[in-house]
Amino acid sequence: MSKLSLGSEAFLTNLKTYLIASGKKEKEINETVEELRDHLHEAEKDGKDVSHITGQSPKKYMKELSGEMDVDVKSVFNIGALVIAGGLSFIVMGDAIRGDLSYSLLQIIGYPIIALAYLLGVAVTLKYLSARTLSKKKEFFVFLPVGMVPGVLFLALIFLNQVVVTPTFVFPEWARVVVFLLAMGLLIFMSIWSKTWILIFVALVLLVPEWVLSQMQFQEETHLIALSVSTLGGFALIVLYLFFKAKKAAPQ
Amino acid sequence: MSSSQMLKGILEGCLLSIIGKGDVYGYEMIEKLDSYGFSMVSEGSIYPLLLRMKKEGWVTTTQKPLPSGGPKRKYYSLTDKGEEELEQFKKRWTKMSGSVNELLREEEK
Repeated sequence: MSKLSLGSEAFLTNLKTYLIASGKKEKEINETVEELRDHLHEAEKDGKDVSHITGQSPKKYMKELSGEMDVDVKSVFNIGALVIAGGLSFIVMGDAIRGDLSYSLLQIIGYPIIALAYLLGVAVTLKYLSARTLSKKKEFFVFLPVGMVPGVLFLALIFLNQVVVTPTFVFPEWARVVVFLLAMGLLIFMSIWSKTWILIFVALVLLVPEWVLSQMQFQEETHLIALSVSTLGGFALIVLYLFFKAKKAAPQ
Repeated sequence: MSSSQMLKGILEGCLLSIIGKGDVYGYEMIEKLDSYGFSMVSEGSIYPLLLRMKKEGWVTTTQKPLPSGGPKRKYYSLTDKGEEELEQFKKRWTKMSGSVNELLREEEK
């Protein structure tokens, strides 16, 4: 079968992203995308292009298709639960290493809300981007603030936690190892489930410096600086890794 | 009812009629619509309608392999419920187009 034009391929990829970000059923998404791929093949043979399918506005067309498809409530719920659980595991593992497993009511409510807000932000951004054709550079600048949202919210929560006093739950000392292993197990499960090692990388970047530094007797200030530098460096490595992986996956 | 909704309703009826004449796939429907002069319809607009018609239980789909090999192609066929809907549409259309024609003929006098 002949290849599709770049414009058509881009449309199909964007449509798929849009529908996934809208939480539609995977089977229905794949069926529809394949059907449109078949249509585009025939249309291109007749000398037409993707605008014959989408009409005036690809965005409007994607919305129309999406409107006729059912939301996959179960999967959306599962993803939400996994993001919350995953986010919490990172926090809990870091705290277990530091030996500070205590959480205020505010934190217990706040962390899941931040995780959900982030997930929602990512989904909305993906929908926004897939319905438009922006350069990679512009896409990056749209994503940047979304990526910063959890960081800012975390800081806000830390600040709020100092101002507002709510009941605090403290894990006993023996629970440290148990909680750590549970969180680790969850991350490994999620990595296998999502078939990517990225979570393990992030965990290593966040936790190894923390652990190494906790073994050394630095002053608090040195400790904090060393920690930020190594964490930032680690994240830079992850971004580079993702960048090259994406480049390899889409040679254009 | 906006004009685009009315057009959708009409297009739905036409698709029911085309599918009723034998199993067809998406692009084939467009070619048939074209041959009847439906040039105001953008090609993609049939797919949201087909999704809805499937959900209503008017059509079913089957995947058949292409003669040339390669990926499968989705064919649509009419269900009993779809036949019923087609009959309903025909009645509605005859009544409506009759009224509109009548009205316009009056105007010409």
